[in-house]
Amino acid sequence: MASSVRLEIITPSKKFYQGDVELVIVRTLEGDEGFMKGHAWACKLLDIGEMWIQEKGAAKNSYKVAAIAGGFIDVKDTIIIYTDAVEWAEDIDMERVNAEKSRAEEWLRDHEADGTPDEILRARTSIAKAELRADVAGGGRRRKH
Amino acid sequence: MAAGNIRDIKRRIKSVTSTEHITNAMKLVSAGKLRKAKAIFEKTNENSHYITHTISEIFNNSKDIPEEYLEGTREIKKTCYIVVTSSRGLCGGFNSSILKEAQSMIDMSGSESVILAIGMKAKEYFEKRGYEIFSHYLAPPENISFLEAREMALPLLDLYTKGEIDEIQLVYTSFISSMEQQVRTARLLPFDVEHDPEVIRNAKTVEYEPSVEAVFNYLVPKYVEMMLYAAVVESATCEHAARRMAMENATDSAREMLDVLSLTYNRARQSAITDEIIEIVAGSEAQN
Repeated sequence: MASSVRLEIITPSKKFYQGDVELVIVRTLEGDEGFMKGHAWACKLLDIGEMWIQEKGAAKNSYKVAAIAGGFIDVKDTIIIYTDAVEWAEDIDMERVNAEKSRAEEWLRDHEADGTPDEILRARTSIAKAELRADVAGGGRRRKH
Repeated sequence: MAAGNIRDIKRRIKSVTSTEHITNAMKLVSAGKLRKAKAIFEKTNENSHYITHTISEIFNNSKDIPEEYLEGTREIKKTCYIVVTSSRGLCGGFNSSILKEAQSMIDMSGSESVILAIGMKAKEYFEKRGYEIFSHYLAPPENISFLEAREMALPLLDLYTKGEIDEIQLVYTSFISSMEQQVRTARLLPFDVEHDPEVIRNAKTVEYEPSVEAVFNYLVPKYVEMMLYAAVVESATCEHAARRMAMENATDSAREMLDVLSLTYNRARQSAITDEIIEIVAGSEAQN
């Protein structure tokens, strides 16, 4: 049995999660990465991606899944994840996700040529976020073994 | 003195009573809003130190920090003041003490200034005095979301990196207790590392990914956004606390005034009756 490490997930307005976990998998800018107890100290930026948590005492391969909108992870003796927005898979409101996605796509279609790079990037980001949330709500891109 | 005087006093009593009703109702409303704002404030406050902590840790542990964010790397020619006030009045000295502090800061510094006004009062005040207002946010501050704070902070950071402003100062009110609030100022940029009292040296080396610089460049805007958001949330809490106090005082004074007025009213009424009796008695005596 693996030993556990304390994980805290923080957003600007609240503490999203706090608890002991055996494994947390997040998507850093360089790719998916898992962190367990005793990981070398690190401070990494996170991409928009899925987060998988295996809680202490949970059955092997039973994960809690959430969607993260970028942020950073600070790994010391405890792990702190800071993010602007995070949602558990079961809390995702698909109607809103679809609405946001189609709005961004529509905008991109109309403004592909005349939008500023910043605006286009923002539209792309919101499409990526919507796709991610749709994936997460459907159980995650990663198959549970 | 007679009927006219009594009527005047009666009218006064009526008007003071209705004022008292209003202030009392406002007090109750503010107390409710204060409770709500305080809950948000406490949650935010709990979390915002993580970011500051991580930043100061990186500062104190690595050498290759982008220099543009550090103190002393450029001359301060233009300062942006973020002034957080309320959009509504009737909250005692809340707005005036912030504006006074901001004004004295501006007067003391020799550099040019631009204002980012949060709340109607700051906007009006600086507009009237002909300051350059960079942008403003006028919705009630207790409803601000992190996203909105972010939208305010981003253009500022842009100007800072472009070198159009050289310093960002934040003037807000800090919440000490429901009874006491204090005007605080904080410098968001540039950082002033040497004077950081909480120097934490890490025992182990830390891996930064993709690089120290990238992590740092991510954290700095986050820090400014976070500080701005926290300041607005805190000021909203203070505003309600200040308004509650002001309204409580107003209610108390109205009640005091009512006491005095009703005493005068009764006296006037009594003396009118006495006068009448004297007249009657004198009249009947004259007949005898």
